[in-house]
Amino acid sequence: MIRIMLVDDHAVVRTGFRLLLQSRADMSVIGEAESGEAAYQGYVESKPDVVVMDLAMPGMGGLEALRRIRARDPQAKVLTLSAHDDAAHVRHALREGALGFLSKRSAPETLLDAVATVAAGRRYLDAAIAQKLALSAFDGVATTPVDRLSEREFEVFVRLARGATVQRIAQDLNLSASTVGTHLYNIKQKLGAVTQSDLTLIAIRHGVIEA
Amino acid sequence: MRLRTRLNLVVAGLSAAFVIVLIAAEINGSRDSVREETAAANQVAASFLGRLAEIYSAVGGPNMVLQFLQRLGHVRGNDIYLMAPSGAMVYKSPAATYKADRSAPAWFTHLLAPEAPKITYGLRGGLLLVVQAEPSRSVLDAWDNITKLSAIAAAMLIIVNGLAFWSLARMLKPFPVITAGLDRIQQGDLGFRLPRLAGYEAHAIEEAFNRMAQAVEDKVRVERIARDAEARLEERREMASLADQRVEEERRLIAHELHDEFGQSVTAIRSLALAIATQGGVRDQAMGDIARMISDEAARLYDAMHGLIPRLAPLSLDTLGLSATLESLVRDWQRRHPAIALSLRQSHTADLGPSITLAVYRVAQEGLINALRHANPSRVDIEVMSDDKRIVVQVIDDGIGLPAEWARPGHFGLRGLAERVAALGGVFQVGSRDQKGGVRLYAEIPLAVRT
Repeated sequence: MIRIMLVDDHAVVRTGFRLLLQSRADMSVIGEAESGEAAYQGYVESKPDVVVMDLAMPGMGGLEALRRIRARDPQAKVLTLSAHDDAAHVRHALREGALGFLSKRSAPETLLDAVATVAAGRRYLDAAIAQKLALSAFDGVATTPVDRLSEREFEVFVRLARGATVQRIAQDLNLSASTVGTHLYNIKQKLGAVTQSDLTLIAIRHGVIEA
Repeated sequence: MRLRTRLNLVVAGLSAAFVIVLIAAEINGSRDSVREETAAANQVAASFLGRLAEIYSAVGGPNMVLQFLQRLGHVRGNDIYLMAPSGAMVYKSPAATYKADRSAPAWFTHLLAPEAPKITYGLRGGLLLVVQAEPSRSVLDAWDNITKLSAIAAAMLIIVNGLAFWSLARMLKPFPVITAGLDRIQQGDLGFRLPRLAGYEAHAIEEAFNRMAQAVEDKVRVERIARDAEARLEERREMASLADQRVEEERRLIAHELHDEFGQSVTAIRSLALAIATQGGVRDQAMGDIARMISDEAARLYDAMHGLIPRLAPLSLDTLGLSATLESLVRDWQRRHPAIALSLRQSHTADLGPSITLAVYRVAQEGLINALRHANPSRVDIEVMSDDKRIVVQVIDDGIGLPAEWARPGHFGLRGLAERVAALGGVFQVGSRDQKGGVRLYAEIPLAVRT
């Protein structure tokens, strides 16, 4: 029996996933969370075999929750989901320790396979994302400036690019404003950006956020 | 100096000069006649008296001469003296009784009177008879004539000038009215018209003035109407532009909703459908198929929605700019329609401003999507070119051409495009590419002149 925790801020998505997962006799959803913070709490309490987690959530977000869970339990098996299926998001999620990545586009069909694969301790990428990653590597964009950001910096970068303020990001990620400021400084250095709109521009160019 | 004063002075001066000349001529004539008369009277009296005195002297001696002279009395125009040989005055003729005690002023006498000729006869016994011309009566007559003439002339002068002044005043009366009218016009009272003015010229000026005022008023009215229309148009454009901004904001919100909320719901629906397919399909094949159909349909819905997002909110216009966004548009649609040759040719200034950038993008986007959806083309060419004055967008396909009902309001979103372009003062045309078919969509938007 694979014990699963679902993390998504959309209750109806969780319901859909739960019913889908429970259609398999060998899978059971033992917990749900609607934020990164709750996911971490839930993980600590119920120790699920697999965490299925949306990256885009209000508050600390999926990437940060992933990091905390992995910091607490390096063996944690996390399958990440995102409506943003660009290469950078995928790479950063995998680098942060996610075992798998699904786009929400293909999640319903591939979820069962993905959960089973991840539960077995193997990596899983859905076909479209695998292709995208392979192609981006082939095109030589594997080492874009965005990929040189640390995971934490990437997270701050995505939020900045979406227009969030430093204070807001500090609050969401539970960091001090000066730490976020330091990240911001490093991000700008690495990306050669001057203003926040430069960051947005770079994010759109690399498909990190939707145009 | 006022015209009236000047004209009055001219009339007065001329008439006065005329009178002066007249009187001068009269004086001159009088002088000649006085001289003539004096000389003639002196001659006649002297020769007549001389002869008589000689006769009386020869017959009766000095006494008889004296008696004769005393009886004779005054002879007009002459003074008669009888002098003794000693030089003593024996007799002097009396003064004239005609206009006695009156005489012309000395200056006049001096002006008119000739040098009084004097004729002397020697009589028997050494007596001398002197007949001297005395013109004072003639001069006085002339003086009286001239005085009378002057009085008449003065009266005439006064009457004539009075009449002249009065008629001048009458003739010149319209001028201040005209001046006041011009002032009114100048102060902007364009509705002002001159009243009917007396006199041919004044009436002509009045009519010309009123025609001019009417023309000015008409022109100003036409200009005001044009200006009002311009202002209204501008207002409408601003409203349209404001509405466009609101629409764009709304589109962004909708895009956001689609991505974040609707997309999630579709994912949920698909998950649920697949859950039914997986569980129910085991028991009921038909139910499993239906659930799978729901899932497939929801997947298409998901794709359609994500296809809508960039159409709804080309956010990258703000950040990537028009060129990159157009390229990405063409690339996206090329990926979806690999069999159709899409081309993009662009050469335009980067700094178009948000409204024009968006309008250009929308024209290219709608043109491309319409062509792909409705025209069944083998190729679609997009061209975006600008110069200093305008930017031109063309979308040309080689498809089946325009359907008959394309111009129906709201059809194909073309009307919205036309309004968007018109709001920017541009031209929007849709027509056939050529006889063989195809559609050519053309939009031209003027660029604001940079100062």
